[in-house]
Amino acid sequence: MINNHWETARKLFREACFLRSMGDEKGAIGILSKDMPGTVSAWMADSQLTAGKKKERLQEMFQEEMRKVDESVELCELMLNRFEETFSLQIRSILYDFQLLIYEVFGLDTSSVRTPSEPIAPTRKRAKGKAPSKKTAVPIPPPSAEEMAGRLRKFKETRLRTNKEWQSILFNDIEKIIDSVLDKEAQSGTKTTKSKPKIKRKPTRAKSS
Amino acid sequence: MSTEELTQPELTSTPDVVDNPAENQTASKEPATASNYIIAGLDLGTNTSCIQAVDAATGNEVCNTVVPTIVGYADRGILAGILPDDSAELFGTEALRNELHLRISRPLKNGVIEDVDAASKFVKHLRDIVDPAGKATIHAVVGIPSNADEEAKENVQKAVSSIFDSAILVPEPFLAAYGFRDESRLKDPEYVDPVKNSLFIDIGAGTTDYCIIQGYFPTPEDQLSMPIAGENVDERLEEGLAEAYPDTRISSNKVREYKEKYSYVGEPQYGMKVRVPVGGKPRTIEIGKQIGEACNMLLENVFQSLEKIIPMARPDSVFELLQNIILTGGGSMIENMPEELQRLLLESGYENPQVLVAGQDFKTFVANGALKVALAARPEQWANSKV
Repeated sequence: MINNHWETARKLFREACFLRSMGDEKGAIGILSKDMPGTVSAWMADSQLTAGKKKERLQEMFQEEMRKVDESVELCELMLNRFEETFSLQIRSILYDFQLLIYEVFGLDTSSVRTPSEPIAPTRKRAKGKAPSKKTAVPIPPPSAEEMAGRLRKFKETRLRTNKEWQSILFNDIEKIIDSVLDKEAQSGTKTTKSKPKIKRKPTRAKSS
Repeated sequence: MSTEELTQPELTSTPDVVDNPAENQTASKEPATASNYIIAGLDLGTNTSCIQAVDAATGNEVCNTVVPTIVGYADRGILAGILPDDSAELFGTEALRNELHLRISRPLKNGVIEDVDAASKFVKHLRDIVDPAGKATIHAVVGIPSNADEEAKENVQKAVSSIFDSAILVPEPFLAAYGFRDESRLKDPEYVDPVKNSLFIDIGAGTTDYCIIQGYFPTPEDQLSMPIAGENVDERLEEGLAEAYPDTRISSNKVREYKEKYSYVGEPQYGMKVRVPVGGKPRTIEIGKQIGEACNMLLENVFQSLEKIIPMARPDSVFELLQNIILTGGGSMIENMPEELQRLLLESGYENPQVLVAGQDFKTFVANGALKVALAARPEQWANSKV
């Protein structure tokens, strides 16, 4: 029972800390003023420790939980930043390739396609009494299946031709950049005769010596 | 639309434009001799080279030095006491100081090594600055020009082999952009990350390199290297002065000095007077017109090349790219260069171009980028790049 009250108090305090770090001050105060006092009192009643020791243990637990929450929040922010930096570029690249594909293969104009970050332009109300202009409304016949297959083949060939060796390496992926540089060097045989036998590369980051 | 100077990335320290190992040690936070394992970034430039190094164990800066890429060989039979320590070879500023008694060699031309032996001796000199005791293990990332062919790369390998314990060669335009990027400001909403969508123009001594950087490690297709750069301005200026003042003889070093002091592009400027010897007597000559002509030749070439590389960018990125044209290298310091380039782009029909100057620290960007790459290299990557 002692352990249960103690663990419950720890969990409640951790939750309060999390809520506070997320800006939910009200929620945190709610836990601290309503749920915590009863649980802490129950633990104090059951515990055999002296009053001074009880207070000391509680203080230690509060400090420990606050530190843990701070560290977790910091880590989360770090990961999120890294995620945003890495993936926003990849997503932009994929979106661009997709636009190119539907433009070149299906002949659809994708210039008006919005990226997710672009704001939606307000729709214009059509003026009353005026018929929509038909000046540019010359219908373009959709490409035939054969035509599309041909375009797709051409598109694939072009993409393969322009799929440069380093294209997919993100600017901040230094380890991959070095690997590419070294591979290229090995292929071209630039190395001097003094080179020592190569060590097989490991896929994961080695521990720093 | 106005041009502006970009905020500089924070370097651990300003470079020491000295190449005396003893002087260099005083500028370092830790004595170089204390390090057993050093990580270095090297920019081997046609005109000047820069080496930045840190102690791998402590992360303390060992050196950040810019050295003129010059090797001076003592004339045979020179009297004792004329040259410092009666050295047979001098390097950098010391070689320039004693030019009169030396046969000067510039190991690089047009951005690539021309004299491998001299380049190797020069790199050894740089190593001595970093590690005077010669006992440390040094791993280095070395910049290579974007136009470097197999022979050029091999020459760099030869020049650094047996001097560093291992070396990784990485294209310079990437290193320049990476060195210029200030990671500490990435969260600043005012900061424009130069690697997101920029066009770097590095106007060096031997070549002018163009590189499109759009979030990825640039491919060879993203780069263009033209052999029109600072050295061509020197040649043109020398020719112009010889034509205008046939009775004067001005050394190449003096011509370079005039260029560095007075260079400008745009409308002709006058009032640039220098004193030159004519038959041993001093004479003051006006060089404004010749300087302008030589520099405008470079401007014209840069603009023409720019028109070639802009269409190489992804069509949907061009408008943003045009607003991030970043000039670096010695040529970026030419008066009015960004403004004139911007004007030419505008007149040619490009929309809202913006040409920025990377700043005074341009000599250190490549080495700084090389050091950043070197610090990120894994141990087995160094093992695979033994020289």
